[in-house]
Amino acid sequence: MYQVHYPHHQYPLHGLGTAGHRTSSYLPPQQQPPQPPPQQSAHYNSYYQPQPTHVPSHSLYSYQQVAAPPQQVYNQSVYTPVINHEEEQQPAVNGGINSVLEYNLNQMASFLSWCGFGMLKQSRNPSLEFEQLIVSVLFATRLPKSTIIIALEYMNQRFSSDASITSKVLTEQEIFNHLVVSLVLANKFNDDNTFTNKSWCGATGLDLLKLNKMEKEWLEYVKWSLNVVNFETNILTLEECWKTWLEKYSHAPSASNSPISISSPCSSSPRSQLNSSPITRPHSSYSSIPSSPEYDQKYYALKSSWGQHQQPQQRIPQPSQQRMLPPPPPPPAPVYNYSFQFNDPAVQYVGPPPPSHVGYVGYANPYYMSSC
Amino acid sequence: MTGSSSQFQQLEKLGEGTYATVYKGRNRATGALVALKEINLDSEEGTPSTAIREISLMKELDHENIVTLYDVIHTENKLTLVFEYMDKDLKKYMEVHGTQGALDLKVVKSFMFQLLKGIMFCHDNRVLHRDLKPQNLLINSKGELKLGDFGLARAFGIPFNTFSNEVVTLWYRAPDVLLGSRAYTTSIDIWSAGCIFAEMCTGKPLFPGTANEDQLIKIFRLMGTPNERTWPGISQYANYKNNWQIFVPQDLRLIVPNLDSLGLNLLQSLLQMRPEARITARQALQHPWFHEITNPAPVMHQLSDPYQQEHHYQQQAQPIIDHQY
Repeated sequence: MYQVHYPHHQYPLHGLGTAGHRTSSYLPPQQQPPQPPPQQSAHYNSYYQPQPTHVPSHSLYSYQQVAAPPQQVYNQSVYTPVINHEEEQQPAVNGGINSVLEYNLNQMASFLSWCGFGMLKQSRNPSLEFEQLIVSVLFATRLPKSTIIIALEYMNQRFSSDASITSKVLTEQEIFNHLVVSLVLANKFNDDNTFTNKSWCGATGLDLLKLNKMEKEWLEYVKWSLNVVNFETNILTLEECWKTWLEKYSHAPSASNSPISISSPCSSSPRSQLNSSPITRPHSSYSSIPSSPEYDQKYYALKSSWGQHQQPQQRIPQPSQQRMLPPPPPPPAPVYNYSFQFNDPAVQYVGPPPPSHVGYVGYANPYYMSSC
Repeated sequence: MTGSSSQFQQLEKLGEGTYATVYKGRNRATGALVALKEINLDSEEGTPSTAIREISLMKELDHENIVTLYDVIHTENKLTLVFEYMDKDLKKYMEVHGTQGALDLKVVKSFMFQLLKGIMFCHDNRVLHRDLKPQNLLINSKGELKLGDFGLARAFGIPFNTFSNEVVTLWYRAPDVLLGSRAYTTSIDIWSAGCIFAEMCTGKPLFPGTANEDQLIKIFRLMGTPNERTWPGISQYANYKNNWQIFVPQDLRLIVPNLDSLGLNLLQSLLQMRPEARITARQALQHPWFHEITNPAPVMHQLSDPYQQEHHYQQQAQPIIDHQY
């Protein structure tokens, strides 16, 4: 600890706005200067002499061009005994940038938008513009799915007990700001490649000072309790909601002329039987996973203009055509409530020894209380 | 975690890096010494991810072999982490107390035991440290060893997460990670523990590589060049080459001549090339080499006779008596 040795390479990250630095860093790997001859291990005088280190002269990330097919672009390794987990980016790493995404951008943006609205207890639908904005953020950052899921859990942790925010009708800008901060924190906690806040501002249009302030306030509110291990049950449930969402939308038959009556992706009941749009249960400490948006053809037409990830057969599912999940059992009582307990590791630790990831808890989780 | 910096009197500087400066400090109210890790906040970066990880993970790791994080003081342009005070790191300790860096075997045993306990606690709490090396192991005046610096640590167990292979200071980086693995787990820290073990015995780093490839070759030179037969699946690694120079495994005794055969057996178990074959921290703590720590009474009796000791452990230079446990 006293020999502080953090990566020198963090700093070159600065000034690399996400969208901008994607382009500027699309440079051929620079050859590193030749290494000095290896030290002879017999010369112990030189033991612990600083080893040659090379600060990469360009971005820590290598990006493929935005629209390019996955290709193997990465830096030559830069060698140094100092840790430099950010200097090299190989394809498909689960870092800040994935060259191959494990999700469809549009679907994930919809999911993230809807969950975000729901967790902020906003009983209305995200606008088309809002979802487009989220698409652009995901497009620019290419975060791994696990990071996005963790961000949603941070939203839940942060807002499930904070009525001073969730009791209000928030503007979409406010909702967007909160979602961005959750993504910033999830990226910093979970990924080995992280963006600077300046990069996030480049990708989101947020003001840097505002983002820094919100990040700081968030960390103070949750008392830096971002260790995902404590939220594993919730994270697994969110994963399950995402899978359910995909089942509803990815494989739904394309023929549909009735864009209005849509079931919730997280609900097995037709939407008309539920409270519409993101629902909030007044007595639940958890915001629900919102039900589905008012999709219409225009929405998809518009969305299809985004990138190459659009799936042509993706169309509005109808209630009659959806794949029915087994109906959820009666909702259990909330297992715990963040409002009092999330800073107490003893309570916050969900259950006995954490389950291995295969058997997620599913319906036993409070997330399933309302709509899932 | 609501401290204010005025609570602490800042004393001399203990260390400095690009990311943070560490000062000795004194709690004005209690007089207790602390270590103050000051991180200058860069507005472009926001809160550093290293700080986010270090704080969120360390605040929950409450163990005698992990440095305690007392408090976090977050101001506009500075973040101060208040840690328990430790006298020096293991690297410095070896310089000061070692014979050309090499520590007495009874000290090595005590430190290894404590290191493995700290690692086991991390792994039980699903944290990978990912940067174990002498500089990050802190020693206090009571001879206690604690893991510090969790800036590169990561929670594991989240489904489908993979990791960067640019972790762990090169000299302590496991061969599977050098080969490009992103699916590593707790065994990554065990390899580092093995390297530290050998280094404490000899006073010099076991594999002082200068670059990724050189690091691999240095490992192969001692452990033997792996192939599909000795390590099924090795050819699937990104950095695998089929034209590596072939080395046969060497006897670790040649590298660490002062270590007894039980100790060598433990070292061998920690330094297994295949990550699956590497011993776990929990298993390592049960290794017979630690018996005098884990079962002091009978062993102490036996060891009190140096001739008997000589008989059983030809390599042993002195009786292994650990006063600490």
